[in-house]
Amino acid sequence: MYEKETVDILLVEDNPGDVRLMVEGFKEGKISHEIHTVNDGEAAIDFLGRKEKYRHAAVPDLILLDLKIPRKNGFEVLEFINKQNELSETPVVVLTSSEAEEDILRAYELNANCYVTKPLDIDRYVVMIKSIEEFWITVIRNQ
Amino acid sequence: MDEKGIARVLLAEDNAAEARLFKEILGTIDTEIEISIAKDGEDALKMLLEDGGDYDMILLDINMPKKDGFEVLESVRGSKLPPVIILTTSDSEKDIQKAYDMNANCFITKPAGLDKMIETVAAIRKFWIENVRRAI
Repeated sequence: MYEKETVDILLVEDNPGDVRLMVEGFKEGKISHEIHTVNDGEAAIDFLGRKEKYRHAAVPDLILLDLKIPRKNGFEVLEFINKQNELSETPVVVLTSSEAEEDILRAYELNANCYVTKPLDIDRYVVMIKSIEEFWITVIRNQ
Repeated sequence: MDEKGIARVLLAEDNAAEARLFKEILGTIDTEIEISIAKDGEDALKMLLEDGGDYDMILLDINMPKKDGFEVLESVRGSKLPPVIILTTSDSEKDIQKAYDMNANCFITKPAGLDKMIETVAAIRKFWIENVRRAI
């Protein structure tokens, strides 16, 4: 099976500050990667469905998904992902500000691989991004 | 992890040397961590049935005596589990698919080489114990 050299990450995030932190945080990793950013749920679904302007989009190796995004929320994106065969083994990391128990539960029920709450403290935020990079890119991708 | 910052991990691993290694790597964080080791599938199942609700993460080998990892997961299907990380020698597509069908959160093939193994378990600790929220 052809192994791509670059890891494609889909980042579904509407806050520009968070996008910036993620892009910077992943730069420190060892593996070559490309971060594709969409800012709302409909764009995420179009990207993953390779519709219209996204018809040449890469199939992501990892999806980082905020829940509170405009146009369609993160749960709707999760529902869409569940219906796509080609995404059945694509890890989805929910990365969101909500700490609400019902959000955590629902994300897992919709088959998110894991749920991460964005830390308020910037240092902790950076450490968290590094932990995502180290685990999902360096460890998992290297298998 | 709970409010007091104690992370409880169930490690189901029949290779005693690896279990010791994983325990040591998982243990080196600021947060207090309690690691319970199950040496075979029956042990793992027993611990899950008794304390399943209390663990923050389960690190589960597939190939274990008495009951394998899949049988353990099958037996607790439907109950609320913390994140289940499969850590196994297998790299078969069939096993990966089966693991996800059984709602495992992640499937990791044990890397060859001690350095990579340490890196893997350290990454597991930093991500799954220190940053991932479980559903209560």
